[in-house]
Amino acid sequence: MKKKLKFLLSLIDATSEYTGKFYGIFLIVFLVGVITVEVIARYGFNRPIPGVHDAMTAYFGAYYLMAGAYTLLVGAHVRVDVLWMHFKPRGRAILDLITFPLFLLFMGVLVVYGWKFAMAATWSSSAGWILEFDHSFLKFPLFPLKWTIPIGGLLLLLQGIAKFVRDVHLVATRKALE
Amino acid sequence: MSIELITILMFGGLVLMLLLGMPVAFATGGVAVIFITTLWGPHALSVVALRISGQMYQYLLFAIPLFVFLACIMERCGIIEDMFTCFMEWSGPLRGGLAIAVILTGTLLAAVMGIIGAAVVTLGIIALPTMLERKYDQKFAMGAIMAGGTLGILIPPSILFIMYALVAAESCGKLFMGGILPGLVLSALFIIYSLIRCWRNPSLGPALSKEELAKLTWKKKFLDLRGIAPPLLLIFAIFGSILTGIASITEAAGIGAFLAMMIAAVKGRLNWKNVWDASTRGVTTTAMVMWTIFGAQAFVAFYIAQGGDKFVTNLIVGTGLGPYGILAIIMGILIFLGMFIDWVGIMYLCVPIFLPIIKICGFDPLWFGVVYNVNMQISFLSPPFGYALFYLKGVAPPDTKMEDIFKAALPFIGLQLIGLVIAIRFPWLCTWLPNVVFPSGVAAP
Repeated sequence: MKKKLKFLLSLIDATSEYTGKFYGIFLIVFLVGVITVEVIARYGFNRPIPGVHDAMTAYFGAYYLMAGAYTLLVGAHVRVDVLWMHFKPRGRAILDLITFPLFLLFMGVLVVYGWKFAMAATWSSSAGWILEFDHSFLKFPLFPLKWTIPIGGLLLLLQGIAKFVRDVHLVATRKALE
Repeated sequence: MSIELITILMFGGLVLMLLLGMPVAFATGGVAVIFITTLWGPHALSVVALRISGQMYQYLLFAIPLFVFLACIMERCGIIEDMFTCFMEWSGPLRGGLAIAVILTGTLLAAVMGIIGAAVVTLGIIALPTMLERKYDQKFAMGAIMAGGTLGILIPPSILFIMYALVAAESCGKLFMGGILPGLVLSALFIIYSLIRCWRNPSLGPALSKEELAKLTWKKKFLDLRGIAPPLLLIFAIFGSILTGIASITEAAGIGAFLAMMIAAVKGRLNWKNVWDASTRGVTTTAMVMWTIFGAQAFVAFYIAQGGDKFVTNLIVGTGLGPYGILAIIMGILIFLGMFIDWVGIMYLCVPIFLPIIKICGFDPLWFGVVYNVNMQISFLSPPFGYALFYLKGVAPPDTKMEDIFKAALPFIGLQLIGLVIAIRFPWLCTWLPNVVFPSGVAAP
């Protein structure tokens, strides 16, 4: 049982981590490379690469939404460290357990309403597939982007639940769940 | 429910959750969800998802991860060390010369980096041991490092201005230009203060010893001037491309990040680990900022829809004070909040509520944007929660107490307050340069 739980938690951690890093590394490929090439192409050779601007704008939303869970995993969501930081790990875990329901509520709303919102942009029983396309020459469909709200929210929710389980374990047994 | 009660319950709930240590992003968002559900009903909750969707197409925000990436590469490629060495050789013969070198390095770095962390951390690693070896007073040295490093977010580029531009619908290019002179004024204040303190009390920051000065030949001094070439190149590339209209601010950040990698390659410090770490730091910082924005936006959108902005306006304008009295109240609130909440949260909670008041008072919104940033300088240094304090604690000698770092920051907070008063008393400091660079009729980025 404990073994299965540990496996599940490490699976959630790994999902968050690799999703975050996957989107993170795109920063270099997509931005540092593409922007430099695009500006040179536009001003150096007077031949702008069509669609780059729109593709980057569209991509940015996914970039930070999908990385929210990884940010939680590494503890980079900023807190007001007035009292919290003075506690020992177990005290911090107790405080985090107290605030967990509110986190659950916020993320639950994001997932449910984000899902409705994304669904409405993807398919309806009367109109079938509602495929909105980007206006640039690339013409990529927009619905995958809308799905990043519920999916990013879900990843963050799962990571929060993983932290909740660890906090419960720490509070109950005084030992960290490794 | 009356607006007075809503105000008390919403902000009371938020403060409680923040004190319990809940991340700002989730505390603001969670409180907003509870209030939207109870007062508007569950069907209204789709507004939370819609708000996020609205933030997804902001091309300008893309500059944030790029500036973080750039700073992270800079931090690792050794050029900050070269800059400090160069300034130290020139200002070292003076009393307090190393503190001046720290502040000058911070000022020059600020014109390359849009964040504060990298400068404070790197100067803490490089300059602090150097200063302590030369018998500098530790508190004085730490204060100079924090104050110099914090200039990063006032002197452009600055991710604070980028986000302010979006919240207040202001031109980011103009804000960038507006930050330059107040930033230099603050830098000058820090330098003058260091000179006076060390001139009156040489034990705080003695000049370099005779033996060390003897080793310092003019040839070496001039050769080491090469150390400031890479940042000057980056400044030239970033601002050159923005001001000539070659690139948007986001693209300029991309060019800067690309050049920083090239500089790191020349220095032999470009490896996968550094690039990997820089991109990871870029994505986590941006995710933190953006999720904080989501939560705070849901919170403020509900509060304003309930008439909260009018309530606060009436409350503040109703005091019967003149424009400057009202401005003083707003500045006081911002300084107070800056002691506890991080700047992203403050911006999205306060600017939508305060900006209409500023307009009622007849102040220039552009000027207020710059003054706002000068004010936020204090938030990075003011205990108990200031980013610079924690960044420095992370790299200071292990026996350094947090209380000492707090005390080290205090005189420099005083100087920042003087800088704030100067920026308010002489508004042209903030608005002259933007209006020269982008005269009316010229589209500013």
